[in-house]
Amino acid sequence: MLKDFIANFYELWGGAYLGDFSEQMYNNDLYFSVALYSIIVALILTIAYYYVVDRPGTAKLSIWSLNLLVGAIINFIIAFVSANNDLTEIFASVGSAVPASFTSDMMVFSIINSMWTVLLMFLFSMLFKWKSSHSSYVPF
Amino acid sequence: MKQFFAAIFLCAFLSTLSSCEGGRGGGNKTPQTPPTNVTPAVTSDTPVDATVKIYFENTLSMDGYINGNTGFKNVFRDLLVAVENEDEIDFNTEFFLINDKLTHTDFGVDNTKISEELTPQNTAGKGNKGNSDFEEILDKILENQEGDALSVIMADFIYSPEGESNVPSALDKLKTYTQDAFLKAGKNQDLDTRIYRFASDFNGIYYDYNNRKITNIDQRPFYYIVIGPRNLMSLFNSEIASQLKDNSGFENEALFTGSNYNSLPVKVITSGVNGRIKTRGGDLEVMSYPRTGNLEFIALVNMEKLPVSQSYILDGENYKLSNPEFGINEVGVVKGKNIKFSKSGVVKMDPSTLVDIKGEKYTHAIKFSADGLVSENLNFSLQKRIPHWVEKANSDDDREIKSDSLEQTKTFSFGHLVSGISEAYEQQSGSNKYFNITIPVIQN
Repeated sequence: MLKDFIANFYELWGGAYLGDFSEQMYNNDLYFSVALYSIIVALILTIAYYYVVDRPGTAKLSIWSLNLLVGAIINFIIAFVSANNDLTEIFASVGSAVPASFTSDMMVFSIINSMWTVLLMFLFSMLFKWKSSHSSYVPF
Repeated sequence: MKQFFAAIFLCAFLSTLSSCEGGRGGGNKTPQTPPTNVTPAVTSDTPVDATVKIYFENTLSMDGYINGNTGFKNVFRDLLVAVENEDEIDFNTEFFLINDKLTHTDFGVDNTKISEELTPQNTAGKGNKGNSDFEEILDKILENQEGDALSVIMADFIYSPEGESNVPSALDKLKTYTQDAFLKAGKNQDLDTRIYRFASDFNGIYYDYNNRKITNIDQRPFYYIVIGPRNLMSLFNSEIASQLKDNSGFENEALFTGSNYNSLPVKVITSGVNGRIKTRGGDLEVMSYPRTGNLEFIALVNMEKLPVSQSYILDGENYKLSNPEFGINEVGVVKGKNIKFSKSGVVKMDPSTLVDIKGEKYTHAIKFSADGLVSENLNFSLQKRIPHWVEKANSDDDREIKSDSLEQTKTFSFGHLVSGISEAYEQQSGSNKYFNITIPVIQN
């Protein structure tokens, strides 16, 4: 099941299971939207690097790394804001505020999302670099 | 560019798969079974009109209940008024005096006034008042039970068969013949039986099992045994018995039914947990055991449809666990955002639990514990058993009743009569459980 498949990535196959936070993210299908937006961001940034920004001056490992860092930061924000907004709405529907313990859980979740973003952008780079005019040898 | 389009396709594919699952909120909004509402008293199979056959045990031992204005008469009056004014069904009331003979009578008055006419004088000379042979009485009543009819038997149920010298043997006989009568009746119709126990002031003579007359006993219990088809019994319990139970003399009740309720909604929650559990998809996974004490967790169950009394549901001894790794600590009631346990007090459900059960209804909470590692599924059932109060109300020897105040609250042979009813239902339905629920346990 796709739902469980995505949850396993965010919960690191049980290693990063965060109790009630993970249950709410899973039960309300919040993992999926974060995963989808993160994939799109990673895809756009990688394509932009290899085919839009693509210049001799940007074909460096440092610029490529910076692009990964930007992707990680954007997807950290997407994960945190998306989870926070959705959970706030969900808890408000039962007249409660999001539990305070969820803030640190959201940080952990966002960091994991950033980690997967870096890995995904690396894989996209391996996929897209070959047709790039100036950056086909970046990162190697 | 081919890889680029492949990636776009992958995104679109993932999106489609997700929407097939129901999208955001789908997991939370889909309960295991649809939420249930209050069991309607009137269902599509409830008849428009029906008969209430009221039987009064016309024996000498019952004279004390109808001598003057007693608690017995108050309850009887409430019954007649409730039946007469029932809006959902047009009830036709028939009144019978029963001993060795079945006498149909209305004393020539309106139904609601029958209680005033029910006196030792008016019931004298109708059959043999010296005989309380319930196997015979029940047999007659159950033979007379047909179609859309409710039988209400009002009696003290003190067994006093004529000519029986061997008491233990007579009590066994009572049980066996009662069982036989209910088994025969159950062959033609799915009948439910309810027993209501009341206390009344008593102005008469008590007859012990040696038929010795005992005076100056001021208060005695009496019982209503109500038998009828399931749909009518549901209506009787919610519309009529509820009024009788408001009477100060009401003490206890019992239900005997062949129905099973195996599809009750159940959910393990994370509130009130000692240890750390994962409850995804209705399963139970122990993430970590507590450092001190036993693993404890709560399962919510919607027992709204269960036609059993609250006290029966809340008695943990009425539940059976097939896996000895688990135990039931206590059973509580869900009240809004809280769970009220009689021993451990109130458990406030945390916001995550409230989100999890949003749109679903649960009436009761069962607190489970496990004193070791959990390896097998949690399976629990609510047993169809004779309530504890029946055992307390039963007497096998009533000769010292005058000096024993506890004995005065008991009924000679009552437990044997109820055992006969209970065993008939168990034999008929082939199951002694109201429900049987399994919560799968996932191993780490």
